[in-house]
Amino acid sequence: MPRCDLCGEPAAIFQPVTRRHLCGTHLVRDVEERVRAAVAETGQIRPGDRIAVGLSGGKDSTALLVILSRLLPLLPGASLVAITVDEGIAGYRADTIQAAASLTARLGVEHRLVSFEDLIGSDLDTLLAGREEQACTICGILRKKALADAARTAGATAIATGHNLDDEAQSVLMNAFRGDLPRLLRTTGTGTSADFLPRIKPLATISEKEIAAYLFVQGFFTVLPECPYTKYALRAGVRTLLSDYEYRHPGTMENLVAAKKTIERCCAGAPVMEPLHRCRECGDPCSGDLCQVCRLRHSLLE
Amino acid sequence: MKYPRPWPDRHRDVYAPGMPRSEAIMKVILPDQEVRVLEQAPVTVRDLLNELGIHPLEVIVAKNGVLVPEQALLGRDDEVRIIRIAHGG
Repeated sequence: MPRCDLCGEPAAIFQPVTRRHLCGTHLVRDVEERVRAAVAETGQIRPGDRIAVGLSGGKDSTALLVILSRLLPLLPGASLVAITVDEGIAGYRADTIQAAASLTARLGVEHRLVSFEDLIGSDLDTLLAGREEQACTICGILRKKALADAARTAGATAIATGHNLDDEAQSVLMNAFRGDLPRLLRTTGTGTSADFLPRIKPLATISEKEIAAYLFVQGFFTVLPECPYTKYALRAGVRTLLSDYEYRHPGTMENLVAAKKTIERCCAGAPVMEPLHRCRECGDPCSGDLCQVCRLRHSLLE
Repeated sequence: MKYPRPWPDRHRDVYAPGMPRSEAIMKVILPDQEVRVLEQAPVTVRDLLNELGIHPLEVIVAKNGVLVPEQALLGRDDEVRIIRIAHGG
């Protein structure tokens, strides 16, 4: 039986990049310390901040809320509010909403629930009738808007999401495949424009498998259904491709994210990004005449 | 590394619950909750996933309720649960 390299207890996980076995206790410490270091190094959270945590109830956002609630004592005056967006996906979202409500009650964190019905007057299942292949695009646009509006209403100073290392590396690769440099740079973790609440990704250095293991060893892991629209996601193919590379060549995902940061530094000040405009209908910042949400509203009316 | 691959011949040696057991069997609960009783032990988690065609980065594995790494040995009378890591939120 493999043993923890730090204490000799039975190991729960092997970290291929560092080539270490860790027991459950040391895995939890390792993950929390890496998140704490990332938050401190990048200045993502400052004392007095009110952080809106996007809490779907799935594993990533669950881990994010657990870790941030433990880091909070290190940040005087900082507070958390969890926001769950109910897209209206039959047979899927009800379970995760319940999980989110249970978690916030257990951690003593304020919880707010907003829905697509509130935002656009319809649930996602209805919106997608006949256009299921656009599910992730439409859902992504509306979720981002719903979360941003709810965060502002809650008086938040930043929005934290549970994007993990796998997510970040997949995004880099997808944008590289598209040859889309502006979009590659737009996925930056921390927003810089005064028009946007800063968006932070404290789990961006933690792999998906580490997050699942982190929750499992503490009894937080719940088997929840997968979104029925996942099969339409373009990301699915990239995920498989990248997982294969990561398994054969540990560190591939970290290298991709590091490469993106290098590109960001090289492009600092360069006219890569499209200039920011105001949506002529709602006034939200956007890159064209209409923001994506208003464009979507129009397309739904057609 | 061999995944994905067809179900190997030696995994056809599957016993329904309640059937007579051999000396070395283990119960494997797959991500879809299907239960298989396999006559093959000891074997590592990595070997088992490889034989089942399951990508090791897409699951975590618990042996008798305790999380174990890919190098852990699985043996007779062990209950092995393979849990798929759901993506997205």
